[in-house]
Amino acid sequence: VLSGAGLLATFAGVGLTAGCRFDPQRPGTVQASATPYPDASVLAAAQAELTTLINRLSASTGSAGLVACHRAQLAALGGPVPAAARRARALTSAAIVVRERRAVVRFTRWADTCVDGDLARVLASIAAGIRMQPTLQAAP
Amino acid sequence: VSEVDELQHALAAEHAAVYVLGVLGGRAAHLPAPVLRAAIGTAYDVHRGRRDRLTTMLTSAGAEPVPAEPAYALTHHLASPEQVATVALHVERRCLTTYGALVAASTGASRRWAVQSLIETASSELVFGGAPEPLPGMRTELPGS
Repeated sequence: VLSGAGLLATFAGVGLTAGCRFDPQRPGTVQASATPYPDASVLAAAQAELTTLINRLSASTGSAGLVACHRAQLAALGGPVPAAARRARALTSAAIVVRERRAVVRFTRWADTCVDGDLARVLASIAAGIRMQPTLQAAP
Repeated sequence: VSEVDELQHALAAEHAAVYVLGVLGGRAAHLPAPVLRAAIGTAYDVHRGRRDRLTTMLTSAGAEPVPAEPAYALTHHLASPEQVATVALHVERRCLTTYGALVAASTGASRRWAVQSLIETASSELVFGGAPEPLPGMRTELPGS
């Protein structure tokens, strides 16, 4: 367990990614209950970004790998992972690349500017994880 | 852990990376693997640049940069391109982990540089046979290390 400023990033050891979860609301954390979490808006925006990507990609063919990636990332941020895809319009391959690149930029910016270092590490890792995916590696 | 501590850890990792990649470059020169040879050359230049940048950052912070070890033990066989690539992948993973820790411990310009280094190092893993993963640099243990 890594802790900082009353916030925790937990490595449960279940697997490479499934065991990694950022949990700013962990019960029993004194500071979390005494003061508002300074990065609440960043965390909410990051969770919303991944949720939107999951929903849109779930309706797109050939995106199962990306969906699984984003689900693991959303779980690491402590967000509620959508059980099933909502009805959404499918994205073209080009649109997927645009959205994924935009996500990399956003997660990088959030990692640069958020207050909590443990959250910054997770956000930077998410940006790197998206950049690693074949969809972006193969894109011109 | 302070920002300076993590800068020192990152510098120590980069010292090792520069040494090991130098050895790997020498081995790759005798192997029929021009793409790997070029990738190692590129990685060597990148890590040397980061080592120098970290040294500057520590000096600017008023700290004494940790020196390189005289030598680093290489326990792997380096007889094939695959074996060379595996060691290069381990080098990248170790640096990736240290940059993750530096991101957590730093702020401002140091944080921004660490974030960029983390992202670039994760992509470098792919060059040496690493697999894409959702959360690179978040694991606490390296397989086979």
